Amino acid sequence: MSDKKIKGLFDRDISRREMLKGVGAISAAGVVSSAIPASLLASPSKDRPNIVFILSDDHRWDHMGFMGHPFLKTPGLDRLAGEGVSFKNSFVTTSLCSPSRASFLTGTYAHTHGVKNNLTPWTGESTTILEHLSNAGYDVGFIGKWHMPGKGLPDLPFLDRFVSFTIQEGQGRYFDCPMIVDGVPTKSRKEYITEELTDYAIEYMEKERENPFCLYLSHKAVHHAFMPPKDLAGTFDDVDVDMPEENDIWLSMTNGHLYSGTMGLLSAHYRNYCETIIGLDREIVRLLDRIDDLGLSENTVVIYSSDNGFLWGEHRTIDKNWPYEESIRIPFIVRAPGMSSDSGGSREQMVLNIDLAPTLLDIAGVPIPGEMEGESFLPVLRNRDTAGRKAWLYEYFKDYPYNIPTTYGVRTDRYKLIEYEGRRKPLLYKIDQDPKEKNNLIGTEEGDKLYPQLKAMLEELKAGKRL
Amino acid sequence: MEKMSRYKRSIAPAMTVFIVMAVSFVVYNLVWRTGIPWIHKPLALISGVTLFLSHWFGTLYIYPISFRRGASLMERVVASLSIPFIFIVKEIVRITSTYTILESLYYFLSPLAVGITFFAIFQMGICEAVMRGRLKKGGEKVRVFSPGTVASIVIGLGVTATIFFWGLGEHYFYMFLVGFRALFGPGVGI
Repeated sequence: MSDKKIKGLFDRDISRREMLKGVGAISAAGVVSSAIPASLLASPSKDRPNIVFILSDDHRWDHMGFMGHPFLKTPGLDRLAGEGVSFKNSFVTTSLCSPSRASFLTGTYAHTHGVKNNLTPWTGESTTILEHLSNAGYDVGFIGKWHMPGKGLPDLPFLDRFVSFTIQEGQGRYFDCPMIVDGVPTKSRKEYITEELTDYAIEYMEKERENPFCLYLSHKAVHHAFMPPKDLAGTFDDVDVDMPEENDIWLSMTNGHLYSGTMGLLSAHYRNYCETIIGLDREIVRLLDRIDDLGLSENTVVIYSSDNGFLWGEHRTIDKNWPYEESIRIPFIVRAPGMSSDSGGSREQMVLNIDLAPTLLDIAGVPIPGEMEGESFLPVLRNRDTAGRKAWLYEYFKDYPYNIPTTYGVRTDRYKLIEYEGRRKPLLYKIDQDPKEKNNLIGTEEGDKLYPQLKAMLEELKAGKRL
Repeated sequence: MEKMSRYKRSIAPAMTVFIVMAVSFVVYNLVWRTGIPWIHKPLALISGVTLFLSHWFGTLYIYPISFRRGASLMERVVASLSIPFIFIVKEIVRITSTYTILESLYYFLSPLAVGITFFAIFQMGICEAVMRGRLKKGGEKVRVFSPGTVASIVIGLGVTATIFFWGLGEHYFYMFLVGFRALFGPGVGI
């Protein structure tokens, strides 16, 4: 955000940022008329915790040490899970970068916020959680991958720190990534992007301030091209990796998989992916340690998640996009001191990317706007026996040139029904008994019995009902 | 060189590669359905190799044979480019299950389509130089590296390398997507 100087009260030069903060403070004091939405009138208070949300890219839910991965060690994420709560059934409502990121930010589905695929521009018409928190008196910083199409980066004047990049359509680069810091093109200070972003995040947390802060740290890792830091490259070269049985040596180069960027041996890319994960985890360790050093641990909620999962040959597919579990499941770890009864525990209730925004507002004590389609999972965090949602809508909109049609689906805790536009056959799985989704029940006697109810649920969800 | 019939000099070499390509495609895409690893993996490996070679190196077979059999330059070029063309058309048909006809036709500008075409052009230049070299060795007065030959090699290799290695292939891919969005919008269709 540019820091243009303007003439303020008493002819003193003030920055645009200072002016907006002043307006925000006046609004919070209740001077402005009651026509302003409730979120703008919430006063800052000492008891409102800081929030650090760490969002990674393409990180599969089962690729963490504490999830039992055969060789990945992730002490940072393990620590977060050990001191917090891990939500074991977490999903994205659209398995694709830009729509999922917009859903995290707005608490709404892709069909609502409008970023339906990686080519649909962010219009700014939807209000993000960042703005809500800023209006509620939080200092808000966004650091990292924005990656929603549009002309460069959006204008987000309510941020008091906006560090991102636009190179390669917003995907950034792992090494020597040119940055844009508050609107100013800036050379990278560190060679490796994950370390660079963590540096900016730590600097943001170190800043002296009166208000609580929300830090939205959005990593490029572990997206293609799956490049780990140089000192970790080759860590898993000697590890035997078990690729899915339906995989073969040419899968990554056939049927359009070229555009997943996995030309060559898939197992080699997979090793790189795992090395990139440990590089990311190392930075999470550094961030958590700094939170400790700054004395912020007891008053800071830390949440980790990812924008979608990744298929490594399961169902003979690579990348995300598809509605299979490996693609739509995400990690979701919440360390919220004083808000859960069981550190190191887990929750089975289904949570979604659209639940993040209402949850953060709930944590901050801000009323949740009616247009948000997600639900706060704070009650589930507080009490593991709280009932969760029965079902939710999955949607995907075609994204050129990937040959995955527009998709709608319903996921309950036991079943998944997926319907594609066009001529592709629908899918119906009993997830609790067939977690690898090997047996499509469409056309079977059992499937014929299950289909009508699931189809009815799907239509209700598409019509906007919550189940 | 004796000029053979059109069938022998241009159609037959291309047809041979096409048959290898087609059989490989069918075997590769069916064999995994057996669900039997000791059948799936080896046959996938072999058919994948032959599929890859026919797509990307078919020109190295077609062009010299056509040359030796007296095909004209145009016939050699058409025969050599027929295989990448058929492959790209197959890919376009594949994505018509998701995209409109026009959106699918835009795929002719995809990294894969452009890359495989220019790689074939590069190979044509190499083959032309080799075959001219043989003629020269046989006593014919012929220039091995004609301007056209050099241009094919340089441009063919240059474009191929740019597409696949410039930014590990990401730069051209994003340009391709920018072009798609300019023509068709996000292509969501809803």
